[in-house]
Amino acid sequence: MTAAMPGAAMLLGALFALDDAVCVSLLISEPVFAGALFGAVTGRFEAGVLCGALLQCVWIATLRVGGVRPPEGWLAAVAATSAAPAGLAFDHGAWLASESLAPALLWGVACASAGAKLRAGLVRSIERGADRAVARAVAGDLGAVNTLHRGAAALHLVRGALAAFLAVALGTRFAALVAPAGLLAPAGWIAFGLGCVALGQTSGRGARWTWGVGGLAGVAWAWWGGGS
Amino acid sequence: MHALLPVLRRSADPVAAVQRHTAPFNSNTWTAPAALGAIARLEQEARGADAVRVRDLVSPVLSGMGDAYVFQAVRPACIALALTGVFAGVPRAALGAAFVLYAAAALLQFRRSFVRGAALGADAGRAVAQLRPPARVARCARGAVGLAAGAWIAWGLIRAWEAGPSGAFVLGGTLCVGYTAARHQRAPGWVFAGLVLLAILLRRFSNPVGLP
Repeated sequence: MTAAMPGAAMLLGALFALDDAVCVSLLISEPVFAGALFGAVTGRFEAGVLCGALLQCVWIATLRVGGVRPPEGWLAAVAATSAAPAGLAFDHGAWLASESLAPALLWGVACASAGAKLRAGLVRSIERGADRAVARAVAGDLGAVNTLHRGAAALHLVRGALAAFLAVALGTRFAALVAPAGLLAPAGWIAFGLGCVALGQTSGRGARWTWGVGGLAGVAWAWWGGGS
Repeated sequence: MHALLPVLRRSADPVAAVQRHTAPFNSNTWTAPAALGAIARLEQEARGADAVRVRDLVSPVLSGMGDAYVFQAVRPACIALALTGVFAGVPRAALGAAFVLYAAAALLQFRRSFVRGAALGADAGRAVAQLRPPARVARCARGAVGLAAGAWIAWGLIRAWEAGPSGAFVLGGTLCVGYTAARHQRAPGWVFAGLVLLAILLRRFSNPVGLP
C-alpha cells in the first residue's frame, strides 16, 4: 500500500458515493472510471484501469431502476486496485490471460456486495428521516426539506469515504495473505465472457445484424493487429 | 420536493403546496426534469391539482422511457466504447471520449426536457411523445452496443485461442454459463465469483481440461 492510498481512497470514495447515490451519476462511479481515477491518483494507473475494466465487464448492464440494489462497482474497483499485484501492464490485451488478478477481483466483488448492503441500510435510515422532515415541512418548517437533503448527501459522503478506506486497508492485507497461497485463475477471460453476454442481451434481439457486423469487425481487429 | 422547493415557497399557500408534493416521485433522473418543468410551471400558475395530475400520470411514463434510454442504450454504449479502448490499448482517449459523450448527452437531455416540460405545462400529458428521449439516439446507441458485443466475442475468441486453447475453452464456457445465468436472472457478481473459485479449485486439485 502506498502512502497516498488511504487518503486518496477516502477522498475519491466520497466523490464516487456522491456521484452514485446523490448526484446525476455521470459515469465516474462506474468501475472502469473509478479504477482509472483511483489508479491515476495513487500511481497505479494500469492496475486501476485493468481491474476496473474487468469488474465493469461483470456489471456492464446493471439496471438501476425501482427497488433494484446494484452492487457498489466503484468500491469494487478501488478495493481490487489496492489488492492487485504489481507489474501489470496494458500489453495490448494480453493481460486478459493474466491469472494473478483473480484474488484482487474476488476481493472487489466481496466489497461491492458489502457496500451495497451498507448503502441499503443508510437509505433506509434516510427514508425514516425523510418521513420526519416531511411531517415538519407540512407543519410549516419548509427548511426541513433542505436540511434533510444536505444531511443525506453528507451521510453518503461519509459512507463512501469510510467504505473506501476499509476496502483499501483490508485489501492490502488480504493481498498479502493470499499471495503465498497462489490462487490463480483465468479471471480476465471469465469477466470478459460475462461482459460479452451482457452486451449482447442489452442490445436486444432486434439488433442481431449488428452482432454479425461486429463479429466481422472483431475478426478484422484481431487479424490486422488491433490490440496486438 | 427539494428541486421544487424554490417554486413551492413562492406559492400563495406554501404549506399546502408542499403537502401536495409529499407523495413519492421516484423518476428517472434523465426524464425527471420534464415532469419538474411542467409541475413548476403549473405551481407558479396556481394550478396545484393539474401539477399533481402531471406528477401522477406523466412522470411514471417518462421514467419508464428514461430507464430504457439510459440503462439499455446510452450508458452501455458509452461504457462499451470505454472498454473497447482499454482492450485496444488506448485507455486514456477512450475513457475521456466516453465520459464526454455521456456527460454531453445527459446535460443536453436535462436541459431539453426541462425546457419542453415547462413549455407544455398541463399539456404534458397529451404530448408525452415530445418529452421522450430522442429515439434516433437510442437506436444508434443500441446498434453500437450490438456491434461491440459481436466485435468483443470474435476478438476475444481469437485472442484467447492465440493465448492458448484452454483460454478459448474458458471463454467459450463462460459465454454459455453467462447466457444461462442471465436467463435465470442470477447476479453477475456472484456468477463471476463462482466461476473464478471453480477455476481456482480445478487448478489446485485437478486439471482435467488443461486450464492455464
